[in-house]
Amino acid sequence: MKNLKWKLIFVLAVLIGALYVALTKPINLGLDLKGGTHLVLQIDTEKALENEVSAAMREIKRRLESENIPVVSIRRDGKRIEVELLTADEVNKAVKLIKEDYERMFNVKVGGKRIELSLKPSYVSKEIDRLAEQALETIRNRVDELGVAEPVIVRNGKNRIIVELPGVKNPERAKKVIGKVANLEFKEVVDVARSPEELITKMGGTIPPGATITVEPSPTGPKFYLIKEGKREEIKVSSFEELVKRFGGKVPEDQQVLIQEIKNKNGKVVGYNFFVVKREPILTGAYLKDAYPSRDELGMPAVSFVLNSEGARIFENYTAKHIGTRLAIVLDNKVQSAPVIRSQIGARGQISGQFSYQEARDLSIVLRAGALPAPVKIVEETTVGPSLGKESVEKGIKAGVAGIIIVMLFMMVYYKTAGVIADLALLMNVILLWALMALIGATLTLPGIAGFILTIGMAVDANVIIFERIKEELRKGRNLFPAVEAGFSRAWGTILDANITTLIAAAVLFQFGTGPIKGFAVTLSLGILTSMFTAVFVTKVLLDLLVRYKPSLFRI
Amino acid sequence: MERKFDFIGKRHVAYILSLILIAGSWIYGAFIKGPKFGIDFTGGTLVEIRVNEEGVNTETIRNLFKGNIEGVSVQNVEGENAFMVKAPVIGDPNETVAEIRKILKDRFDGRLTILKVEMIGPTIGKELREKGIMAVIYALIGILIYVAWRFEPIFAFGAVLALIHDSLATVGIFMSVGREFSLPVIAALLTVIGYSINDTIVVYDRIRENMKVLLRSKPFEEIVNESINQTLSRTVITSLTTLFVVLCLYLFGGGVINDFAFVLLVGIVVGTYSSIFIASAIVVDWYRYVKKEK
Repeated sequence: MKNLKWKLIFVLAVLIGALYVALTKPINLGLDLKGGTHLVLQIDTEKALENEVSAAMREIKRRLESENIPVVSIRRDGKRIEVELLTADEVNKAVKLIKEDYERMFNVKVGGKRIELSLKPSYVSKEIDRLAEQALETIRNRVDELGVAEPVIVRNGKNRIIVELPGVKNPERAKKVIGKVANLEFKEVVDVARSPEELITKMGGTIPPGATITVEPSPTGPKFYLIKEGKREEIKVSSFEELVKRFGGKVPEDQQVLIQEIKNKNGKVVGYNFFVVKREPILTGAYLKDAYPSRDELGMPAVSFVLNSEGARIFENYTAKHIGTRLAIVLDNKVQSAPVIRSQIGARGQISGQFSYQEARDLSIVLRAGALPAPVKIVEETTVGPSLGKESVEKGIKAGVAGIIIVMLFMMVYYKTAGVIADLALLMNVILLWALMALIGATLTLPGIAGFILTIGMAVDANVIIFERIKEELRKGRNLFPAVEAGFSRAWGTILDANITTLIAAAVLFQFGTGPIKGFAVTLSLGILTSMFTAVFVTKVLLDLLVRYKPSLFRI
Repeated sequence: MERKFDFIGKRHVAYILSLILIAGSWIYGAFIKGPKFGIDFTGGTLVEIRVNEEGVNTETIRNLFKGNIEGVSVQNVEGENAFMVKAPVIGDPNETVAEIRKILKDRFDGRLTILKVEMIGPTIGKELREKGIMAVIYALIGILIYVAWRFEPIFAFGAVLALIHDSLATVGIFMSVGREFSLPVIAALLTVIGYSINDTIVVYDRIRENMKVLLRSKPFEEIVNESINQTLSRTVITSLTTLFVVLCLYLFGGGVINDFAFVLLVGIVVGTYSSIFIASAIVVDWYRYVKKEK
């Protein structure tokens, strides 16, 4: 039959093509097999949005006051602002002004003499998108600077970023470089205090008589304690400005309090200085052109930087007018150093501040790559050493080879020549699946190897269903040829149903899983597809050949 | 070959057996022993190391963390010089990981190989827990819809009940032997759900085929019983070939794959049993019930 000849040619062509691909195109290995670090970062968009609302609030207050509208009170509650004014007339004027500037950002609601501003959902989603894209770009730059080969950096969902670093030697360092916000600001110093008590009194507050306030370092920042009559009680405040306020002082609106960490020789934080600085920065890291590790005049590691031309101009103007005052160099809301301006400074400067050389180097990297638009948290890390990956592959190969040998032997013993044909189809399935994965660039993971091996056992299921049917037809007294035909045609629907249910489960798994599990779902799905081709079509062609030309060899 | 076994007649025995299996394994596994969740679901830190030094045991390593990190547990890995150090989430897990790495490196220096580090933040753990449960439910619903579309609704009902039976029994046994839930375990469970229905479909297909020919001449129960008997060999053999490879995975795969293979091993055995004894029997009972109503 001509038809059969063409089918055979087709099968051979597919086999040769698959062999070619399998031998020439390497398969992608997942990080769990080749070794490396997988990180999931979560961008704190909430924090970034709150900061934006805070800035808008200060701006609105300034605008209203400059238009001679007295503000009774203005406060922020999460991502909402409440403004209280004196008269309804002024409310109308204020709403107009606010809408002029913030139409895009806020929904405005008026109730009596109050104005309530809340972030528009459309603005929030656009802003989150912008933040995530910007963070992605920054992290990409930083990873490039780390010199990792073939990294993968992709967004995952709304506010997560996945970073994959194959073969990275020092994951802890990579995490620090990737996760640092690196928001550099230069701010004007108004005052300095060496203790919380000094800060409070300088800001016009009073310490109750007989009481003292102490500060202790903790991983989350300084903790304050009030000691009075031998009792020690923590003062819980969310900001240093609040601490001042608690004792009757006030930090002016346009100023803020920042800390400087005092470290011992081992880099452990042992105390704090408190800096009162102007809120509005003179310059930010956005004006940096370059940064590199260097040493300060005492020979300690430091970071030198070069400003771009606009930054240099701003800096020159500022320093010329402020000789003799102190300038705070602030990194992620912590004062690194606060040198006294001795002369006009141009494009070049230096940040010193108790770094190790490694820290100075990493800080240069993050400053060069730019700041993250919002804080990020590393919420997941998986690091697989290269030796474990290799072991996993070896174990997988062992299990796979053992599995395929047992299955092939069983089929041969139980189904005789038909079993041998099923075995040939099974081998072809393995080659085909491997080639298909290489071809579409699917990633083989450790669970993926398990999926691969599993499809070896499942692939012959279709053969079993077909062969059992043929046996049954033969028992009914049919002739060989029609029995084979009936076996295939009747079994086909069952095989299809059975495989589709497995595909449904694999699809759900793909949807739900992370990296390695997705790898399993993909491998399993592809394996089911290739096995349907080999176990049904290829087996049929080979069986037809046997029945047609050597029916005497047919045993089942 | 006219060996016939009265599966349908003995179905009440099977029901009771299944109930005992599920209730027993759940009471023991979930309530007496308590289910164990890996860090995928609880959040936390896991560091797997190999130490090239004589006389190091779990106690040596546990002592390293005393006073530094709270709640650290150390396990030896199957006869090797390998250990698993686990820590719960207290504060920032990134700092815990950094601290564990530093302490181990300081102590063992060049004789240490870090095989694997996993850190899962608490939010991720919670998310994965919820997603894992939802995935199992979605898979069941997806298969229910497909089977309902391909067969009559009573078959779909029987199939999904059988699947729920398989999932419950597998999870129950898994908990009873004290293994830990992880993402690969959920993956294996979903695979069991997708795969164990295959045998059921084979039987249902045959029932449907036989109904067309025989419904007038024989009662429904007999048709079902005959169908189960006719397809018995393929039900057993298909499961057997898959069990062969799963057994190889179980024996040689190591680590994560071992748990994965265990679930498949149990799931396929239970699934084969339910395809033969439960899935069709439910259809028979349902059919009877509906007839009586009329």
